[in-house]
Amino acid sequence: MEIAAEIAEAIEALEEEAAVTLIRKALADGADPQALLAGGVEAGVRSVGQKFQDGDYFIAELMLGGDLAQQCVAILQPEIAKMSGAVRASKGRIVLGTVRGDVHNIGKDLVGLLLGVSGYEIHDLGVNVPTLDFVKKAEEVQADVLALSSLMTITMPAQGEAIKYLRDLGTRGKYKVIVGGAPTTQQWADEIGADGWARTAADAVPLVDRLMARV
Amino acid sequence: MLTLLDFQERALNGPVIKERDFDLRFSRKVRQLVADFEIVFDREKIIPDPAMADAVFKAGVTLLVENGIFHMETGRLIELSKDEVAEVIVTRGKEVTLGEGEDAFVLRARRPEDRFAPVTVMGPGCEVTEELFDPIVRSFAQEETAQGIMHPSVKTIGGTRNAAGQPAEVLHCVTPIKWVRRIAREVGKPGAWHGPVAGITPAAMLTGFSPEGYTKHNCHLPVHIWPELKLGWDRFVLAAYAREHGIVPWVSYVPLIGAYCRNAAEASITIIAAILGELAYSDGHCGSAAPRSIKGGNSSNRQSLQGYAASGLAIERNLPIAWGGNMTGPLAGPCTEMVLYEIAAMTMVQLAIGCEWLWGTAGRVGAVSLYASGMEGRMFGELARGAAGIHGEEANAVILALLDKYEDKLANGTAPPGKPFHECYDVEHVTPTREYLDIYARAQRNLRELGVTYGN
Repeated sequence: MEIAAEIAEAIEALEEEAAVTLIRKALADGADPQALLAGGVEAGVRSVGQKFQDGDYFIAELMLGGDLAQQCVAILQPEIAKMSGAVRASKGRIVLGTVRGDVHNIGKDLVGLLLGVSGYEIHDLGVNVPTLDFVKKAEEVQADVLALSSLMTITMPAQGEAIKYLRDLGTRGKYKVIVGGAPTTQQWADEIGADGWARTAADAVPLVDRLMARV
Repeated sequence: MLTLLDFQERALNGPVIKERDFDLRFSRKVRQLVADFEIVFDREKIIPDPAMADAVFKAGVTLLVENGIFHMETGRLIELSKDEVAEVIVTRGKEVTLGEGEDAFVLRARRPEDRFAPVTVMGPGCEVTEELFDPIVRSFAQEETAQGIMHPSVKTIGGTRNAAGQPAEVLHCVTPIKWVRRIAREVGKPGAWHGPVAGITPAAMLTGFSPEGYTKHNCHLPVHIWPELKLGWDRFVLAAYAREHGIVPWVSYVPLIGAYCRNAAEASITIIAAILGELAYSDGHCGSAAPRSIKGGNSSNRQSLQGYAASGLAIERNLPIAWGGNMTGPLAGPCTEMVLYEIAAMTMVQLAIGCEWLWGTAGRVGAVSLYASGMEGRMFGELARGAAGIHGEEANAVILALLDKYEDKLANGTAPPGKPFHECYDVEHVTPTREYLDIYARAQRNLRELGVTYGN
C-alpha cells in the first residue's frame, strides 16, 4: 500500500501515533507533502466524516479525527511552504454559534466539526451568542459564512435579527448567512432572508460548498 | 447536606477545563463506564433485567462523581464526592402533590406490577398559533384522562413573536397560562396542574407568577441540566427561587443518542448522572427523561426506548422520587396510525418499569407548529389505565411488535407527516374528524390483537 493510503487509513482508524509516525517517515523518505496532504490527511478525514454519516462513528470520533488532522497538517504545512512558498488555504472562514438565549451546543458542535474536517476554518463562538458578537467576529476574521444555530422557537428570532442587523449595517452582502436547528425550516430561512438552511449537520457541508462556489 | 451556595462556590472555584476537553472527557468516560459495568443491551430486549438496571444506576453515580458537571459561564467543573451523591440518593423524593383542590393529584410510588394507573398529564408539545390555542389545548384538556393540562408556546401574541430575553418573552410568559387556566375552568378542571413554566430567561419566567397565572401549586420551575452534563447560572437561580417559594422543581433530562452519547447504554448512564446532579442542587421530588435520536430527534426508536427503560427502571429501583415518561418524541404526525403506535411503545416502556406519571405530547417531535391533538394524549391516557401492571416480558413483546410496524420508517425517513390540528379536528366543536376516529379505532384493534388490555 502506498504511504498516503496508509496515512489515510490510520486517520480513519483514529490511530494518532501511527498517523504522525507515518507522515514523519514519509517526509524523511522524500515524499511529496502535497500528495500526503491530499491523498493521506484529507482522504482520511473524508473517511471519518463518511463513517459519521453512516452511523459508525459519533461526535467524539469526529472530534478526535479533527484534532488528529490538525496535528498532521501542522507537520505538513511547513514542508509545503518550503516547496511552494504557499500555505494550505482553507476552503473558507466560518463564524459559527448558537444564538442569544439558547445554550444548546450539540447540533452546532456537529456542524463545526463536519465543516472543519471538510476543510473550512471554523470560528466557534459557542452558545448564547449576542448578535453583535457574531457581527464583530465576522468582521474581525473576514468570514465568508455566518452559521447561526437555534434549537428553540423562542430563540429563532435572533437569527432574523442578525440578518437584519447586517442589512441595516450595510454589510449583508459580505457574508453568506446560513441557519439551522430543530425548529427551523426552509420557509423560516426564506422569511428572514438567510442564504441557506440545513436540515441536519451533514447537510450543512454541501450547503456551504454550494454557497462558497458562488462567491 | 449540599446547598445551592455550595454549588455556586464550586462553579466559581472548581477545576478549569475547556468545553471541548470536557466534551471529549465525558464521551470517553461514559464509554469506559459501559465497559466497566458490563452494560450490554440485547436488541430484542427493550425492558432490561433488574440487575442491568442497577448496573446502569451505579455507572451513572460513577459518571457524576468522576466526570462532574460543566459550568458553561465559568468554564469550571462542578465536582461532587461519592458521599455527597449517596446522601442525595437517600434524602430526595417523597410523595408530591401537584394541582389544587379536587384536581390535585399525588405522585406516589408505583411498582411495575401495580394495577393502578400512573398519573397522565397532557397538552400540545409543539408551538401553536394564537387563533388555534384554545381548541388545540381544549382538545387535550377535555380528555377524561387529562389529570393535568400543559400549555404550548404560542407563535405570536397580538402579532408579537416570542423572543428570549426581550419584553416579548414576558408577554409570552404571562399570557398563555391565563388562557390555559380559563380553559381548565371551562372543562371543569379549575385546579389543574399546568407543567413547567414557559420561557427561557428567569426574569421573564418569574413574571408569569400571579393569582391568575402560575402559582406554586400549578406549575414546576425548570432547573434541568443541558446535554451533556452542562449548566449555567440561570438554572441555579430558578432552583433558588423554587426553594424559596415552595415550588416543585422540574427535574428532567434529554440526552442525544448519536452525539456525545453513542447508544442507549451511554444515554441511560448519562440520564442517571444528570438527574442526580439536578436533585443535588434542587431538592426535587419527581422527574422525567427522554433520550432522543440525533437523527430525526425522535424518542420512539429502539435505542431511545431502551434508554427510557434502562434509566427509568434504574431510577425506580434506586431512587425514591416519582419518575415519569416524557411522551413528546414521536416522529409521525397526528392522524396517522404510526404516531399512535410510537406513543403506545413509549407508554408500554413506562408501564413496564412502574413509572408514576406520563406527560406529553406532540407529533413530528414537537418541532412543527400545530402538529398535536388530544387524540395522541388519549392514546397514552387510555393505555396507561388499561395496561397498567403489564408484566415486563409481555410489554417487551408488544413493544417489539410495535417497532415492527414503524421502525423502518424512522430509519428511512418515511414517517408520515400526518395533518395539523385544524385538519384532523373540527375546530369549532373540538371533536376529532371521522378519519382520525377510524384510524384510532384501527390502532386500538391492532393493539388488542397484540394482547394489550386497552381502555378506560
